[in-house]
Amino acid sequence: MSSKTVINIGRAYTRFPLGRKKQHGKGSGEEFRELFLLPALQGESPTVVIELDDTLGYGSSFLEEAFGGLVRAGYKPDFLKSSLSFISDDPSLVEEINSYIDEAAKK
Amino acid sequence: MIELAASWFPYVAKGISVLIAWLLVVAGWAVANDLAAQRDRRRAELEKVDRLRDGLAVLEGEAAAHHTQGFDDERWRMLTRRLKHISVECAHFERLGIISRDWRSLNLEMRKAVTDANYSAGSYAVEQLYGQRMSDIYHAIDAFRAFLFKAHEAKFAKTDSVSDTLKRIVRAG
Repeated sequence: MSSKTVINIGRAYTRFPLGRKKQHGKGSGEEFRELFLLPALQGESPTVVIELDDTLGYGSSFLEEAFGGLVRAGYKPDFLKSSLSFISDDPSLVEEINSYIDEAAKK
Repeated sequence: MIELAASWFPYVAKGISVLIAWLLVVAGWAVANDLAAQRDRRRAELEKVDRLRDGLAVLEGEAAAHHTQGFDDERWRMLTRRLKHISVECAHFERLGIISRDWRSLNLEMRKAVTDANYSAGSYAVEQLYGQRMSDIYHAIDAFRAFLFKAHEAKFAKTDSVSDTLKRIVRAG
């Protein structure tokens, strides 16, 4: 059964998504992945819409850990790219996330 | 009949010459007006690109301060805001046709260089001003700056000829 989840990072998680690991402080990519992305990706054909614009900026370490970390957690890049969609005024942010998914798959 | 035509001819010829002169004045005004509008638009675009370059200089200073002077929560947040502003401005400039979409990959590399590591209180370590991390940051910012210089030069060098302007005015109706 398909499910659709909308995640607004700035409103639902933190306005400052900057770090990589939970032990490094609040607003980490690891915590975001565990609290929001992994639950949203459960089910047969999930659709996850991620709204990126309501934060005060991003650290690449957060983005890499949150989205590249999904590949390391066992998700295939093709599945992630068909399940995740992004809304942002900054197209470079979406390109960056996709690059982390691709790079994590190569490692 | 011939006599009648001959008596009208000077008036018709004068009328045509007045009409041609009037058309030339109108066309000249339209061309001058259009060129002035273009020049103003280009100047405004150049100023925007210049402001963005100034923003990069500030970013470089803030990035250096963040990575080499110890973790400071306010500075760290300011730096993140600066990076976001640069991205949003570039996206806006791309939509306006001021810069090409090539900014995206350069911006990605720059954000990555500044924020991919050493970017949380818990993982922070002071870096050398001319160490590897700072060299990567300078390199990424320089590449972005070079891109903006090229965008600036392309805008600066671009001037339409009078015939191009006339064609555009005619096309615009």
